[in-house]
Amino acid sequence: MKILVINNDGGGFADYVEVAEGTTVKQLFDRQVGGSKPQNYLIRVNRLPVSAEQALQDGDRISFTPVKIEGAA
Amino acid sequence: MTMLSLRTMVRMAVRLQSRLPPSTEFPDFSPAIAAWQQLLQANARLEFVRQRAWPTAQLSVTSEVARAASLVRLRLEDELNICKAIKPARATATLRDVLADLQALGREFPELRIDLRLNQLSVVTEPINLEEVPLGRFEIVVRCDQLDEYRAYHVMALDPSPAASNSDTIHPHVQDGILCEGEGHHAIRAALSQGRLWDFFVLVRQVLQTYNGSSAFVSLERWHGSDCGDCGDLMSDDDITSCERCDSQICLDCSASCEDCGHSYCSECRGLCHNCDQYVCMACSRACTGCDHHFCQSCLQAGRCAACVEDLPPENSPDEHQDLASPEAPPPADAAIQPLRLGEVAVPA
Repeated sequence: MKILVINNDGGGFADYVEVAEGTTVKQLFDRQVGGSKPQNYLIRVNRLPVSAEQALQDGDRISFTPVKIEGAA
Repeated sequence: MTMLSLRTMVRMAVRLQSRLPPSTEFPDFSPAIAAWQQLLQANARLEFVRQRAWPTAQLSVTSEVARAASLVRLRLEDELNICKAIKPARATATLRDVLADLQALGREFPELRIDLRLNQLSVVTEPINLEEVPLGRFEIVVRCDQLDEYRAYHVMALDPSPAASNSDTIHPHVQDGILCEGEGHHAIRAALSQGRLWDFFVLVRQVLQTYNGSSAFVSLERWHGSDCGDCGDLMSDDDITSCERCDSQICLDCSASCEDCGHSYCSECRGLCHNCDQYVCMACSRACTGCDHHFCQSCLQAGRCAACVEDLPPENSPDEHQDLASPEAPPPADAAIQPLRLGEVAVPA
């Protein structure tokens, strides 16, 4: 199934990816972000907060946004 | 949560979607066509020299044709890569996406504001506290007709609590309404250019909620101002300097330069020359060996001040004393009028 993945970490990435049926939010996070802790990100499916074990559906929009983003002067 | 009418949201969504920047780069084959023209000309020269059986010329023109052919291939490959990269579904948000973003923003933020007259879309954040410094609520404002411009948005303080030293700094990373995006720059620009407004506002909010002490317009430690270490007055950013000996922060009025070394010091690290009243630092001042007062180096002579030098008892030799004190003694009565000098001999009369 195809879902829109938005990774707002670093340079920003937004594209459709193919995932297997039944893929959970946590599984996709580990694949896309990997090496980071989920609590350091705002994870939203279709712009709503979700549980890590929620299974993704075809056409879902999932975003990962870092909680801490340092500005500058 | 904001209660805006669906009609208002739809009208704003239509305006926003129509102003989204172009989706992606489109191919331009004119460089490849120009390279092809050069190849045709080089090939015509090759035909010319081949018909005349000029072997040397054939070699050089063949190299020229090969270079022109390589350039054609390079230009074509560039444009083919661009053709393959075009993906409109990723590049630009649809009207449905924009409307969904607006509805979600109304849930994500305490307040969503749509001003159709001013063509502005904005959200209001929760009150922001950074390291126990309350900064209040902020409004992130986007001009719908400037989405593709670098300054597409600005940040306003709704409960102003700016830095004491600079009223234009309403947040450690916001000055004159402009957020210095830092780590969030590329993601914020990508979200704006792709019309992902929900992502854009959330990203800006996360930057506002994060303090970067190593790069702030005004640090939170100095948010409520710095007091001069000497006079105690509150100092503005333009008025702060530091003592070059103890590093204490002082205002420009309290800073003074040493007469001898020229460096600037606070009142604790400098004194006054006992003679000329000029400022002199601890390192440069010297005590007179006679009176023990402190002086700058130019007011001391062999370790003594002028007053102590005058009080010195005379210590010079008698001859010297005489030469100095009395006029020249008259010569003996029988001295020759013109005595013999070196190289001379007396000639009898």
